[in-house]
Amino acid sequence: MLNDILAISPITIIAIAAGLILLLTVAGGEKRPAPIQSTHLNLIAILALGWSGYLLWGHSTDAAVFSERVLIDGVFSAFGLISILGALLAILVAIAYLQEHKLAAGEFLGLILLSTVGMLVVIGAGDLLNLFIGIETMSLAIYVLAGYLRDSKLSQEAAMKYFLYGAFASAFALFGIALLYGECGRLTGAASIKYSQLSSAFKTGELGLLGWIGISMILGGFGFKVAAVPFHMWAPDVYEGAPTPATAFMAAGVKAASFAALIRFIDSVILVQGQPSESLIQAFELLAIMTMVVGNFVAIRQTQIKRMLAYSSVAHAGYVFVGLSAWLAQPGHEALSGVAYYLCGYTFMTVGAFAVVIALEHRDKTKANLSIDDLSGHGIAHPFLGLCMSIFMFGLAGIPPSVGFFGKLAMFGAAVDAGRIPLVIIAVLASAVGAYYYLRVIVVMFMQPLNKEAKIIRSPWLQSGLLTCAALTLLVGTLPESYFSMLRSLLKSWL
Amino acid sequence: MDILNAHLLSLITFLPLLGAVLLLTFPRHEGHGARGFTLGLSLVEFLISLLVWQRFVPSNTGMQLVEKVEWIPTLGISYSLGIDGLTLLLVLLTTALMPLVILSTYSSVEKYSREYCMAMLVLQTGMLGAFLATDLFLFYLFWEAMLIPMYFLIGIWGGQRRIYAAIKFFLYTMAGSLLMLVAIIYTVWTLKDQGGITFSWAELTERLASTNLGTAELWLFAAFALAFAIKVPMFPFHTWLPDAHVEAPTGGSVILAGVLLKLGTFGFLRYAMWLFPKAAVFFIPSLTILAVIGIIYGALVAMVQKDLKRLVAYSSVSHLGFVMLGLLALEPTSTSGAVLQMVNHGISTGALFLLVGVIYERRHTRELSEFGGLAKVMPRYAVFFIIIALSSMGLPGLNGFVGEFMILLGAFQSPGLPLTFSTAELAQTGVYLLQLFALIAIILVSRKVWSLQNAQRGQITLIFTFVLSIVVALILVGPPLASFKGGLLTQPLLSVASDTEPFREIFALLSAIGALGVIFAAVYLLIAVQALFYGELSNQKNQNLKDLSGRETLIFVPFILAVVILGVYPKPCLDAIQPTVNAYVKHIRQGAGLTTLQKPAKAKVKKTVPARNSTIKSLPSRNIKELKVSPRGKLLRRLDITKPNRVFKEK
Repeated sequence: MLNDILAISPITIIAIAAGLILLLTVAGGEKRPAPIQSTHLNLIAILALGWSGYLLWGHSTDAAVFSERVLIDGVFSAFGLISILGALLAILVAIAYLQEHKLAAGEFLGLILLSTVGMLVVIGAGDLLNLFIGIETMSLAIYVLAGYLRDSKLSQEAAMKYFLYGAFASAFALFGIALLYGECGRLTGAASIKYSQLSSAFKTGELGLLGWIGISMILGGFGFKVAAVPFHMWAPDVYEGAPTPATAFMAAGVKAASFAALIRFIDSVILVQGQPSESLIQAFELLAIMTMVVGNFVAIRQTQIKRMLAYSSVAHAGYVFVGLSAWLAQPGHEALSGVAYYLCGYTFMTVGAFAVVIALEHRDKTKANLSIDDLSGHGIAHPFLGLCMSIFMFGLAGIPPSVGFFGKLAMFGAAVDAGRIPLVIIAVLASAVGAYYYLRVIVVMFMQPLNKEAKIIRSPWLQSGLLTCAALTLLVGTLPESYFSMLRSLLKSWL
Repeated sequence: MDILNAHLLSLITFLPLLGAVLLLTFPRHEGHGARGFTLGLSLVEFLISLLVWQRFVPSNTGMQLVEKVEWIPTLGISYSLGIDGLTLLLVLLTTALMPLVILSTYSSVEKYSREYCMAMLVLQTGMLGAFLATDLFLFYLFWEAMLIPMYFLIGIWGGQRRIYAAIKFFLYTMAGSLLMLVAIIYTVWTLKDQGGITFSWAELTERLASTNLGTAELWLFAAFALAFAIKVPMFPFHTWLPDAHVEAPTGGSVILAGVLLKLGTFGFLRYAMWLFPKAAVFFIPSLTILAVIGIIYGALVAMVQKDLKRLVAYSSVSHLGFVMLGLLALEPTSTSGAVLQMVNHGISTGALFLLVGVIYERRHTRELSEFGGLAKVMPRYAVFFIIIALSSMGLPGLNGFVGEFMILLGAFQSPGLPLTFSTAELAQTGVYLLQLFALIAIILVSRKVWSLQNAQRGQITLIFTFVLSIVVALILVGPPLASFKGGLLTQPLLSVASDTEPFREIFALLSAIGALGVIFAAVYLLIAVQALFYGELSNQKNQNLKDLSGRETLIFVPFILAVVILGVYPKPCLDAIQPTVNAYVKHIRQGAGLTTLQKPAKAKVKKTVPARNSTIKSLPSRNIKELKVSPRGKLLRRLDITKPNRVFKEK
């Protein structure tokens, strides 16, 4: 039992830190307004995340604890690290935002940490119930974060929309879980929602129609969380309305966690039945193609930068699905390590891009959202900001030398290896379309005149967040070997 | 010193990037320090490249000064650089142009000159890296990364429609390159079973030589060729070029025309044709026809331009058509000539863009009708302009002649290319692919026609383009119908099984048509010269134009020297180029299953042209010496005699 508790310490550390932060906030008494800035709370959050991340980085032995209900293994450490990194970067960029918009810091930090706990549970879940609890923990915190700007209607709308859609998605997923539970009972006589038992049941027995319905319902739930087309409708509104640091966190962390859980689910429920059928792979490919095409093409038409980034995040979910299709077609660690690498790179780039947005959302003009044209001339007026944004945009467009390029190479390479060449051609063409709207941001920032006073938020926290994201985008992109081979060995031992 | 020697190529590649980083420490709004620094750095770069030339052993046809370090071993990616006879002169061209470009920025760039210098230096790293890389991943990285500084150069320092031009440039090039990326990925991952995954150019060459990829090879070549054809640019993928050139700042145009376009032609030889020789031979007829169309089309369009810069831009389309013709003929003389012509074009066209920049800075217009009689007020400028124009139109004694002549001579005697794909399935795929390309070509051309109509250009151009597009399509890939036996390319493909006749006549014909381009070049360049310098000095605004300043003279003197030296004594350059290029041609011909050259079968030929019966390798230098002094009539007669006589057989 003690070993079990120790094994999940990456999760508990963050949970304890979250509790501590909330307690310290309350301990301040009934000060109104609540403190908007508190260095020690920031430090607690950053230290907790750093510690947990350190533990995951040094992960060596796999463990299935609490009678196989929590799996501390390669996937947990590979993807958990991404979620933690996302949370860390989101906090770095959030501090300046909270100050500028006079928002309470304690709750915000606490909610981000709680949501991270949820993500880690999602990633490590060894049974479908833990998965569900994790998803709900993660999501509930984010619903609140989305509505954190209490006097902004857009923010309220975002929270409401996300919550309602999310509730439906959860309900579907839950029903799917129930169906799988029944299916497992039908096949083995002992119903269970543990992955280990589901696997052994589906390995031998033929999965019935209800089982497949259950699987597709759960996949739909994941599709909602990662904003894959056609489950993406909520994304633009929520991304636009939510406070920008929360959007950054949501875009990066939730995606990584949900993909990790999806991978675990596919591995223990679908892949155990043997090589998946061609039609199943094609279904995944179709999902990938729709997501990439819709995401990229609709992003072109956007005028609000956050909506543009929302559709871009939809498109990037599509690229990840290319990697997943490759994995389904040819199960192995090559495609999966590409996926993990890509999600990590995506985290740097997207949090970075939102950080630039945060820097431009100074108080006297906010509420009305930032349009792409508002960026005009800022690249020249603020070279550091412009340089960072160029790095993120070129990275998201997949131009070398950046983490976005190498990630695409690794995933598309695996897909070509698995013989999915038409899919890869569509994917690269879609990213050519994507280049258009990323370039537009750079055009506006550098090639159009400054039409208003170029006022930006300056804060050491924000600057360091931006610098970290930009440096990681370039460094991990040009020297990917150590991280990439670590992912490979982690996922190789997992499979 | 040893370390320096071992990493000479890394030094030359990354020194500019380091310089760009150091430029960040310079004050932001004061340009002179930054310019001086960049000028010094680019001169050092040039000196290092001379050192590279000195270390270079011409007779060695492999990669030299090789550096190789494992970089991403998990995916078989290594950091490896190397230089050979193909790239040596291109590297020299790059490093030589850069100081001159920087020198020109003293007057042409007014705002953000520090950032301009940074973009130029980053661009230089990208270009040199793309030339020197011997790993496909590294090559692609430089190839794509190069777009970024060029995009900023056009977009920030460009003219009126700079944003449109910058985006068009970026997206055109990127769309092509992405398909090349898929091809690279496919090649690498398909061949990974043969001893592990690798991106190494040399290793992949070996593996590809011993692997039969079947129809996939056609697609792979097509993907590579598309990326390079856009970069060259070959007709009909050239539409980004006039926009990019006209809108780019002077320095950007010089580098774009001088070096960037050469990456396309370089890529054809080093990657597309080298890696996939069988497919290359299959596509060469159609590509050659496109190259010749490019020669004629570019020249004709250049003739009717009213904007001087646009004229020079279209002349690039024409000149690069020559280069492509030379490369595709796969004949040692013509291919060496093509490589030399890449350098020549870089010098001549680079200088022309700088010259255009000079009057643009003075008058802020490039309309030919605004000028006239400038020879009176700007005599020195006129002299320089005319010398460069003459070199660009291929006047014997100047550099352009050597390259163009070798290309035409070689292409004319090209032994031709028998079709090596002989199964019906392959032929079918080929027809299908070709018709796809033709369709794309027609769409692009009709769009061009449409925009011409909107711009109210001359009716003749309009009708010409329209008719051309249809004729081209029919000639190329028209389906067999009634008495028409099918297009030039469909016809042999459809009856392919027994047909091993070389495409020799086609090459002879095409080079004859291409030769017209030389005459057209004279026409449009002389039109420009006339409009600029002769006639009355009628325009009041031109009365007080200043002649070239000392600094500007300093820019053009090296160009004039290069033009004359390369024209009179090209031997050192040819010596560096030829052994390597011969090896390239040999490799591609062998890989495609084509025989090497045989001695002439007919004794009659032997008598008429005694010099001809030795191998082709010994041809170029001798002929050029002879022909430089011959009058034009004699030259043509000579060409007539040298009609191809050698017989080629399959192994």
